[in-house]
Amino acid sequence: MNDTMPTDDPLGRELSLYDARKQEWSRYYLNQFVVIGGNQVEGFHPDYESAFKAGIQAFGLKQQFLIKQICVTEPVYVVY
Amino acid sequence: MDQRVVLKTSPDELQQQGPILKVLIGHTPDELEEAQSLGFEFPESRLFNALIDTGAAVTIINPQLAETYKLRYTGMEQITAVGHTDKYRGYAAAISFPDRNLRGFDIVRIIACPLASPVMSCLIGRDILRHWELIYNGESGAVTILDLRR
Repeated sequence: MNDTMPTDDPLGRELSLYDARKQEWSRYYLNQFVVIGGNQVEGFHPDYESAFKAGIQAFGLKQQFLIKQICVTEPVYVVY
Repeated sequence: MDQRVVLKTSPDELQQQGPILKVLIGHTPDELEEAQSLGFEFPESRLFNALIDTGAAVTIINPQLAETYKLRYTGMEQITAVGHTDKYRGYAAAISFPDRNLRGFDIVRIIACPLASPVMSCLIGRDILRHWELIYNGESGAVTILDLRR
């Protein structure tokens, strides 16, 4: 399966940035959660909860931001 | 505080429907605080049926709910359901259980993925269950939940 997300995604710009930096980040921040709003990388966090809190603090309610776990292979969650 | 909750139904109902909880899905406390400071209001949520689903790796909600309540989109996730893999939107939300003495979750990532049952709006997945101990007693029709968080 292709790792890149659909281009009509409202977070397409943030995903492009993530895709461009993923290889580099996976060396230092593997399994951490990166927060990206526009072209700004807010930081890296140990879990989704702390990433979300940091995202709201940095970007507020009005600006969208991406939370993405840095993984070598994108996780697929199964619902039986 | 010992957060032990017993969901009591009949053995037949438990077999037919599975363990069901009423949940309130809304915005996180951080969003509500920010919204209040901006004089902004989110649509008010209401109680929905949620199935405790040990077969779901993550918590799932009906996509319509995520749109209706204007939950915060934070990125796509890949889900395999019924043998089919696709990408679905992930949202940040708070989940609470107002009619039960059970501690809620302030920030949970939930995935908006169509559900097979029209009466079920949410599957409580193993991302939440990792904080609980569950005892399923099919003979008595009771499911006991113990919140393990300190």
